[in-house]
Amino acid sequence: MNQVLFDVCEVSRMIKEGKSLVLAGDEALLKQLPAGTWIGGTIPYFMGDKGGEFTKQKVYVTVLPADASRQTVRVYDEKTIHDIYCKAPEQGFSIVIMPAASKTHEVFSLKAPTFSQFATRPLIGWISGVDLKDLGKVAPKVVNGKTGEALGNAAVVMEASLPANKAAIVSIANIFEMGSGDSLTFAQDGFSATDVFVNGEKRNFVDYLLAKKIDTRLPLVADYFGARVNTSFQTVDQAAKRVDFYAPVFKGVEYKVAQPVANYVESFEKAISARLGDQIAFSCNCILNYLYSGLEGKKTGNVTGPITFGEVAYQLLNQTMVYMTIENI
Amino acid sequence: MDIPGHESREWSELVEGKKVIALQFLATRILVGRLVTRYKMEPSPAVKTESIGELHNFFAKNIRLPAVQADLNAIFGGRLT
Repeated sequence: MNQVLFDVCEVSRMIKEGKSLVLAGDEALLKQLPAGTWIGGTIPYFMGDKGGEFTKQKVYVTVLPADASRQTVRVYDEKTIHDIYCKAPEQGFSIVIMPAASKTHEVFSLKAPTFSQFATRPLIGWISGVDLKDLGKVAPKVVNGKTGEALGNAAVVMEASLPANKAAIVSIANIFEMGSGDSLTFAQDGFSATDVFVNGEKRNFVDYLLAKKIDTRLPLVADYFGARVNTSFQTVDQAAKRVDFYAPVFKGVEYKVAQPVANYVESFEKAISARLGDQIAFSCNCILNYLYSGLEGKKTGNVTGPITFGEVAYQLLNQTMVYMTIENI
Repeated sequence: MDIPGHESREWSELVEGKKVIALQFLATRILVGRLVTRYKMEPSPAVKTESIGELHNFFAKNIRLPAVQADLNAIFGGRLT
């Protein structure tokens, strides 16, 4: 398996050699890097070549595929993020990073499906985060490598074009299946919910979760014509009678609590092809999978990538591995 | 592969949620899922027309991909060549 985690000197050399990079690492490391064609996001958790790893000493490096050309770095905020699909290359791909809990993250999460040209061009990416011990004390950032500027509210995007005989294919590996329990729907889009409709009957969501003894480490799963899309529980606030999520729930979409997973690593290996790792141009996996499944020191097949506070495959996802392959057509 | 016109019955049936079709391509699945949900929430002729336009645009932009061709063919009952 190729090396993916590098020290600052090695990454600096790659940038100076003119490579186009997508980087993940501690803010202190990213700030030391020279200007170049790169974007970065803060996170100290990785699926490295030796397995799950927490480090603030190394940077995870994704080198853009050899077929990629016309690499461009763009920066959006909450007022301009709606252009992310319109401005994407017609024949190529875009990799996006946004800081968790930023306004840009919120707008993208809630509104991406309404953006002009939604899903017409490949978009993949992740939500940057921090050491979990620093939650609430340190803000996640993204970095525009062209300027070296670290941004707390922005989306940095690496765009690239591909030749006519190549295509970027965005895929997901979701080990969670819809459970066989109640049908859950919500009255409005949002990152939190007070009420839920259980098989059509309105209930307080906190009361429902407690009464049913729901394991909130399992996500809500929606079925989009065969694509299972997860929404993860963040907090169940018994005092406020409110449930918060890491991604929005959407009005009209039917959710079910996921079936329990006995062994994450085994399930993951079943979900992806054994040879996939060598074909992947970019991938990332969720911090909740890393935590709940105890992935530190363990491998998920031969797939590597940053461990993230949210994943993007056209729209925001949770508890899902997303990956992009470059395929001949 | 030619993409059938906006007036084709299959587009309407898809947006109205009358058809459950096995789709392959992730973007097709997500887009169709979203449009069907939207129409369910707001079943108006304007929403249907807009949704069919969005689907048509999606297929026009991605028809070079084999999985997208397969999805289009599945929507049209395997009649397309």
